[in-house]
Amino acid sequence: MLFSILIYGSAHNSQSAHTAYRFADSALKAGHQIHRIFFYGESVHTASMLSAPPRDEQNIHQLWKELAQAHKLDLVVCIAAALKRGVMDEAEAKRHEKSSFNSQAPYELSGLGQLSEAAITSDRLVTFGA
Amino acid sequence: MQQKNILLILSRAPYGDAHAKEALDVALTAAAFGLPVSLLLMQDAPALLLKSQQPQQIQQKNLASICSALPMYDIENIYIETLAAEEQKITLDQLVIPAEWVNEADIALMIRDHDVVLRF
Repeated sequence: MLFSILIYGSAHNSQSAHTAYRFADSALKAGHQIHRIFFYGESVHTASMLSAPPRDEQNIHQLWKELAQAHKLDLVVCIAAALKRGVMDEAEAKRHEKSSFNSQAPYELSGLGQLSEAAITSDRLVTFGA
Repeated sequence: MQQKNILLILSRAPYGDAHAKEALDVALTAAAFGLPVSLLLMQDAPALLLKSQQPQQIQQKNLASICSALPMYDIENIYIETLAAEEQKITLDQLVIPAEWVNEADIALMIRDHDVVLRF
């Protein structure tokens, strides 16, 4: 089955980012495919490479990054939700005249159209952390 | 490819968090992509459609003006949970756009009949 995953939950204040990760990992191990992971709302902070959790806690940014690299997953972050929360890549930092950026590949900033496309293309769109 | 329809279920009050605004953004984008969109307002969400809301008093953007544009995006399937509206004494003539009352049984059928259901 072809899944897409929509995450709303905060990266560091809700279990949903981890639950979504475990779901994605399990689905892939069970032989399913994942078309896209879409980060919306508070979950856009997952895309910040500046998060530095204590060593004995999970690093959700890193976990998604490694899973994406291992399985060529499409990690899309809602650009409007990200920019207003201070999550941006180098190109957006330049465009908005900011002195630094905190997100890069495999996380990709893009529009809500990517969510609509995922809903159309996938057999199931599964949401975490409404 | 067979067309998929999408149901957005809103249950939180329009201000106080970003859910209503982010749900409306999804609705408008999905409609722009040609997806048939239905909106269901439950619990505290029906207030989103009230003409009388004055969010400028708390320095917030008025979401009712976005809602009044929904029909221009061909989003005309707008449903309100009857129970919630009764509890909050909301009547259809107080709303910025036409909506339809639905009860629990209607809602169950709506969830069944939509391909994609997103909660906000």
